[in-house]
Amino acid sequence: MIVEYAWIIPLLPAIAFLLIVLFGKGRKEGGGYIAVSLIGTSMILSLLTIAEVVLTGKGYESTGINWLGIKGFQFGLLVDQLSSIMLFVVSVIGFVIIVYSLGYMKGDHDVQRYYAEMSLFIASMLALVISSNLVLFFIAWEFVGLSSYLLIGFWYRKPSAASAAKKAFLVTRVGDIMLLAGIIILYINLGTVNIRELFVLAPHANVGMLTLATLLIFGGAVGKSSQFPLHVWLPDAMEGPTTVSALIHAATMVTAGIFLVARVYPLFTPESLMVVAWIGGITALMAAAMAVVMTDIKRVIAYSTISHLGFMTVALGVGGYFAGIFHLFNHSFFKALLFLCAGAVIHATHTQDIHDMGGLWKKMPITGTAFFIGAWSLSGFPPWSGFWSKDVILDNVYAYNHVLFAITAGAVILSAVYIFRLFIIVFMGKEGKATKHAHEVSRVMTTPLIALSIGALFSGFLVFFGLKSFLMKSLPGNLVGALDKASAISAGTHEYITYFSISLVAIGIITVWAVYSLKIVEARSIRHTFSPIHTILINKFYIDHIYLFISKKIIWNISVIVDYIDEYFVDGTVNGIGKLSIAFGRKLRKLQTGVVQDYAAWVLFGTGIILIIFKAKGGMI
Amino acid sequence: MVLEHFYPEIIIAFFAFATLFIDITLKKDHKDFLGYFSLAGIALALISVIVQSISTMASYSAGKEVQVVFFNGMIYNDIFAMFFKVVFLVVALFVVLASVDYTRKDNYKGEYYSLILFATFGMMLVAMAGNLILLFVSLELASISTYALTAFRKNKANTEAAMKYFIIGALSSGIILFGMSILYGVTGTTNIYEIAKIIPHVKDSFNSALILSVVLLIAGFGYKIAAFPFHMWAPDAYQGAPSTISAFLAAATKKMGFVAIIRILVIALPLYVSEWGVIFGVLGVLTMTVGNFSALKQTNIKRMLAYSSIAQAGYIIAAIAVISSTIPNVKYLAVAAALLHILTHALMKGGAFIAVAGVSLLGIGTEIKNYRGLGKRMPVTAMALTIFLLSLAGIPFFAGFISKFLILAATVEARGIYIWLGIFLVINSVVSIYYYGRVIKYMYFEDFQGDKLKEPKLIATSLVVLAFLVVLIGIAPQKFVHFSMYAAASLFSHGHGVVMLH
Amino acid sequence: MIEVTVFYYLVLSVIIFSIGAYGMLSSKNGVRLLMSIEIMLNAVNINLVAFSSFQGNLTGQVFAAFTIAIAAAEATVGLAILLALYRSFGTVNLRKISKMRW
Repeated sequence: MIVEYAWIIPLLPAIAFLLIVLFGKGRKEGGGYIAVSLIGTSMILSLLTIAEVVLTGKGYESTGINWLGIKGFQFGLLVDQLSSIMLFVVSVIGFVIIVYSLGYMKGDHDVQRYYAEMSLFIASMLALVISSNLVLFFIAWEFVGLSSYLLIGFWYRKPSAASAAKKAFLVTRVGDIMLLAGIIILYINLGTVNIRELFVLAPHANVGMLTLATLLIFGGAVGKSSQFPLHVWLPDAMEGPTTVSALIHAATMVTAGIFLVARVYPLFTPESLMVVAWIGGITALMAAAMAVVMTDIKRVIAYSTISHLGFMTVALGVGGYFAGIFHLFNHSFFKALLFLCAGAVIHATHTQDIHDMGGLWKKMPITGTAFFIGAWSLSGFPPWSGFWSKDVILDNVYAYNHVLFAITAGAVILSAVYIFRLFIIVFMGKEGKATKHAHEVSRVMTTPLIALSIGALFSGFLVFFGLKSFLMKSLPGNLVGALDKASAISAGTHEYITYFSISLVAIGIITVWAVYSLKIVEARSIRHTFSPIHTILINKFYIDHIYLFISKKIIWNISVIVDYIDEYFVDGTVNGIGKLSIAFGRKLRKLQTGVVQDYAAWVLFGTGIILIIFKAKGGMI
Repeated sequence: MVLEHFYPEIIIAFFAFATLFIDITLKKDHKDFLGYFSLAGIALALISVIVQSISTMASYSAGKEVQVVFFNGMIYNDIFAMFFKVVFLVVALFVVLASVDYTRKDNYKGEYYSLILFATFGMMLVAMAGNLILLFVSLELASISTYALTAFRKNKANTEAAMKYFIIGALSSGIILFGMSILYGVTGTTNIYEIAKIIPHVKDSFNSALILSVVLLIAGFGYKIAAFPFHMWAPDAYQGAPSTISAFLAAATKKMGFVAIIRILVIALPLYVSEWGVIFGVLGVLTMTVGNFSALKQTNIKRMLAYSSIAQAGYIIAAIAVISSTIPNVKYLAVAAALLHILTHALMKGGAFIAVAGVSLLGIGTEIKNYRGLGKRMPVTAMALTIFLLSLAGIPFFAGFISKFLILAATVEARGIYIWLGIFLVINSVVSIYYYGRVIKYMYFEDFQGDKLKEPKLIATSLVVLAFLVVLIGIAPQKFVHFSMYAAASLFSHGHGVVMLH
Repeated sequence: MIEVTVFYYLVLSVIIFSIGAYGMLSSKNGVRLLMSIEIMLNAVNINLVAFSSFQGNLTGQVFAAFTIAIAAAEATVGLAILLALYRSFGTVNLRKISKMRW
């Protein structure tokens, strides 16, 4: 019923975009209320839609309109269980963040453009989620990329922001081209781009072709979801406003790649899934290692996002369809929460360097608590949401491959390390120099924090309410059985893995606590006054040294190497291609000498060449 | 009556002469009337073409027979021709509308407008020509008028542009003519449709002469469509010509080359389809690559647009190459895609040049760096130019995306080696975003302190209408795709009165 | 006695056409360039007339008549452009007129 009108959901933010562009100019809040009201309505509609999908247990696919008048390009809607979960994430978090923006962006002189671009983003993201065929999906995907580009470069007068926007655009384009190529291959071989029809045709298709096509599609996901080796744009994308980072570069857009893989999941072959799994695992570990050494509050969270996207990818790769989407769902709450907290902190301290912060808990209790909740959930320590999804992921990975399991477990321990390191340095300990004049942010900003905290705490419990069987309905029936069989492990092993992961997280937290929290206590006074206890503290200092040794000498070096590869190899290639084409263009221009006889010579020369081609092709004369 | 089929041509020819005569009677400061007068003529002709094509399509879909061949095969007034006539007249309409503002301070307005009308008349005849003689004569009518128009203001830039345009044009006329003469010599007829029937029976000893003629025709028309390596004149001519005339050259005159070459190759020379298919494939890839990469570092916006139109011609050439596919029905899609891109390119490139005309009219110049802050200084012009540039770049929901997508779909449908054309098309589109985006960046994202300028009204009007059309085709392309499909089908019906839509 | 077939005319016209093309590439003076263009067009006329007699119909001669008229029109416009060029640049040496390039 309502689900048939799902096309209104993306339409409303699009209308908001137009209204803000046209009429937002004179208003002081720059059309923020237009955005809030229309996106709010859109959220209510999507909640109703989801409710209907949950209650009836059925998805809905519209027949669609024939946009170009060609066979196979019916543009329609597909609202099934998977898209309703994504719809929920996008509309709810989008709405919460737009509300938060009312406070955060207040006073920015270009706030109209901000709301316009945010509305455009939300509209295209919602359209992406409910599109029933890959071409419409791709168009929405490009619009998502475009609005992300605009928003990263929102403060375009800052050179770093402008170059970050360009970098994001270029790097994700690499993935986009692969995605397009994948879609084209599917269309050539199967004659349709409709997702449901593809599912029907896929089992009879050539496996090699499917592997190639799905790998190319995964290439698109690698670009958008910032997986190795195309992850380089995401940390730089933090140049945009923090709300943008929270919405686009944590909760929604970067998960579009994961959603894409899940959307066409039945097309993936075991070979391509293996690539997906290993890319995900490598990304998860590598990004987590890098998060440990960062000192910019947003960059730590950015690397953490990459790492968690890696978790989702590895989960999908090992056959954990539910695990990946479940983690996506949970992650979007706690990561958006962490970003908004970081935004509040930056708003209050006017710096992003964590060593200038410290002791913020007392000044900003609500933000501190919210951050603590987010960190707890992210670290995967029970009982909050991150724990549940991480638990399923580890189970699935263990059933798939033990080496990959070790890698993932390593990433889990590092997750706990970096997030509590961040928490302790920013919120505990003595006051940093930027902390002095900080104070709690306004109500309009703390309310969204509280809302998201609730999500971050409890979203994981949905697993007890049939989330898995609900989600699995969006896959063809035979695939569900196969997946369950492949990832099955005995109950004993499951418990073992759960305890193992809890202890991993605990070790991580204790290490951080010992190093960052207790060291400070020691350093300030105890060492000089109480020499008997000093020896005991030396042990702690010793742990600190071990940790320092590990972090400085090993992890640091690895991170430096990774960073080096990042900067010179991956970046270099991307920039190099750009530079090369411009240099090529520069040379090419010189052909044009400006002398008309030279042009005439080219004409005659060209005629000769055509004659030669003709002869070579025809073999006549 | 035969004449009722040619109201558009009669109207244009009448107005062209009438403009010259009225010019004599007018006082110097009333000459702007000539602009409105020719505008009325073009509008009338456009309406009658549209009415004609709608009624023809209606009779086709009703299964009724329509008379297509006139004057013993001299003229083929099929939907294919009508499609091009619509393109030419639409471009002429907006060019004339913008010219009223653009040439307000110039002398010789009578000549200016009547030359535009004569050129339009010539192009319309080219679109319908079923005979090599008529084709050549009307081609020259259009070309010679535009040579003179390019030199309109007789300043350094104008005359240099006109000189280059003229010399390469005359050389190509010679080449085309040589090719045509051989074609005639071998087959004994100048009727394009007759030639097709005779060629299979030509003696083997004439084969090499025939091949020479095909090559010469491709090379000669390659100049008109500005294909690499015959494109060299285009950037200089478009840069030097008055901006409204650049719009006319890029949007209309260039398309005349396409209509001629499609008709000759498809109708008269299907025997050599695999050969010219390869040549057009190679030319298409080279043209789009050279055009796009040369555009990357241009500092003058007209020159950049010129290179961009070379690149866009490359896409169309690639679509023509797909006609050689042997898979059934793909050639219909390929022709339809090429036609639609010709239409959309005419709208967006014409619009972009008219926007440039408006900007240069206010003394801002044609250097891209002078476009700084244009979004605030000339909001309507800047917004319209942005729409045109985005459309040229092939961003979805603009006209350029639809037609580029159809070309891509055609290459994909054709399979095999044709897919490479599609791949090059995609790569080139990605490259092109850089230089289109750069202009937009200058207009909106660069600081500039300057007053808001008063935008010329008629130019702004034509820009708004063109931008609306570009967006309209982008959002609701069905009617336009339908039209181009019919045009393609009527081309392949070889002059029969009944057309089946595939 | 050599029988003069249509092939000889074709060769002749190709030679004349090539002379015209060579003249275009080699001469600096704009007027000479125009003359070269005329030579090329007239090469085509030879072709057309020869083919007309070979094919035994008059279409070729009609075509030739049109070509002569068009060549005249082209020459007129070309000379006018050269004149305007001379007025603004002070030269008709086309190698020196290359303000617009790259």
